[in-house]
Amino acid sequence: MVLDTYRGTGLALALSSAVLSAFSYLSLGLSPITALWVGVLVVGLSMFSTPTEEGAKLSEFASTMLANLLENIGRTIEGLSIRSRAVYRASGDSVYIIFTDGFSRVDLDKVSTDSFISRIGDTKVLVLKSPIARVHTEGLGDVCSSFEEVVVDRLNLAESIECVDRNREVIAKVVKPKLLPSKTLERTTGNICSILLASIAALLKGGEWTVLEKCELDQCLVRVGVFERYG
Amino acid sequence: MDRSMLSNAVLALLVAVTVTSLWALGETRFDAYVSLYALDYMVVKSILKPRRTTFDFLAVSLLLAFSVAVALRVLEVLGVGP
Repeated sequence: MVLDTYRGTGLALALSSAVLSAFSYLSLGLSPITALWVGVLVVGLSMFSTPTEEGAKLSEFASTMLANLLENIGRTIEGLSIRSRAVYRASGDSVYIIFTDGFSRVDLDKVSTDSFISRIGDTKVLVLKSPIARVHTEGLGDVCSSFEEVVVDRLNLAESIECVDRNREVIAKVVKPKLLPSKTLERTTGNICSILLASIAALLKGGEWTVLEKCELDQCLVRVGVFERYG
Repeated sequence: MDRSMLSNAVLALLVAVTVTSLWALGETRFDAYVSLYALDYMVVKSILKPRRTTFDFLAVSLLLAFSVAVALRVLEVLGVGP
């Protein structure tokens, strides 16, 4: 277990206050002094259980670069004339974004994530790798917490997030997004927040996910849900 | 400041205010202090949503302590408790 100064201080506070509260209890009983040391114990434990690795916040410079890179996804899909919703599926520690001319004609179980582009029957299938991987969601628990951590704390793409997880559907309101939406990307996959939310949902909940509503206004509303297969 | 560190600072402030206020009011019941610590922690957790290294055992422990304190108080009112 590696302890930095902050967590070490928390541990020291917790241990010392545990000893002091035990001593206070034995000498004074359940008194306000004992309660005080228990309060310090709570704060010490909270500090100790706080992860403190450096969560680099992307600058506006880097965020714009990321947006431009992701726009290439939209350009590729438009260039290949594929017009369908994307399906997000986790495989191992990665998430893959599957595009095809028609999901009704394709058995998704036959789609291989090893190939960038393939054909299943007469149908073109394009598979891209999502920028989100399992390493980005480790220690973050549920979909909404992970989404907020990635969008607000790590990538600095918005001021805050309001999110509701309805098990088979996740709805998130992105408050004051800091990047202008890309029309190319929105016509194909949805905006960056849609890609991130659908990827995180696929990673943490499993199964196949798709974007149901896209970001259109300044106050972005993103909705992703479990993809219902045809047939 | 990182959100998680801010939440710990706010929690420390709330605990300090809780202890000071209750002590100034002459409150000596231990369970009153613990119940308010649990409330402080839950408020900070729900508003600031701090990250945790593992499952939030502290939240569960405080909730349990709060439940026990409330249960004992209810039993006392009903005349059943210790």
